[in-house]
Amino acid sequence: MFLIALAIFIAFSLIYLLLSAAIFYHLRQYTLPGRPAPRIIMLAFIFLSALFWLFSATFLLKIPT
Amino acid sequence: MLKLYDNEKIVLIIHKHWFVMARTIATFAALVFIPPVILTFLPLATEQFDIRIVEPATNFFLSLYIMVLFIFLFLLWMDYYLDMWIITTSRIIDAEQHGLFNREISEIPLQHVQDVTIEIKGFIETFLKFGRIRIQTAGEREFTINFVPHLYEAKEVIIKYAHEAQKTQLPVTSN
Repeated sequence: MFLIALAIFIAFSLIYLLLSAAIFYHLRQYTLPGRPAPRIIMLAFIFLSALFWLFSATFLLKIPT
Repeated sequence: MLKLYDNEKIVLIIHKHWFVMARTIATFAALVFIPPVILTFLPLATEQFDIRIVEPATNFFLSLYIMVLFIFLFLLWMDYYLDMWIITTSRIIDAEQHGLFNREISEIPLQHVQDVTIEIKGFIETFLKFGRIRIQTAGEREFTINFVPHLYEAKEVIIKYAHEAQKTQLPVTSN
């Protein structure tokens, strides 16, 4: 069970990272200058994503090997 | 991203009304309540499994589920935010984002604008004051902007600068 969850966690993290990077790229590329909203939303997204990523890693490590 | 011509200035930038995103957020807020429902009935379904595995595994997958909601909400917000209409002193630029790596940009020179119509239909649009702007051009092409906030002000700006552009009849040249 642990190995399956670990494989899912790694694959999920990679896909999540790629999608996030793509969204950041679009926001950086197409946002007009002088607009603070995208930066604030990006920071909130990074914070919440990191928080739940840590939660999921913690619970993953609690699954017995 | 946006290259302005000589003597061209941005007059107004229109994003979709916040109600569009509020609907999406409300949907996602409802989806957040699915895990507590599952957690309520999960003990009945997993009685024969080891609780030492079920509990952390459940929390693990719930954390991933919340992250999936985050990424989709972020993606939809990006799509909403990057849809914009930029009215300059010489043209209207319609920039529409369709998901990732799919952006459509079209322009109408203001001197070709012949008719501007605004539509406000329905209870929500009336009370939240948003609606649709239809712009008819000289080439019989219709340009529609949906979910526009401050409709009357936007219409006045378009008409004002369209008249000015038609008076001067300056050719539109690129850098």
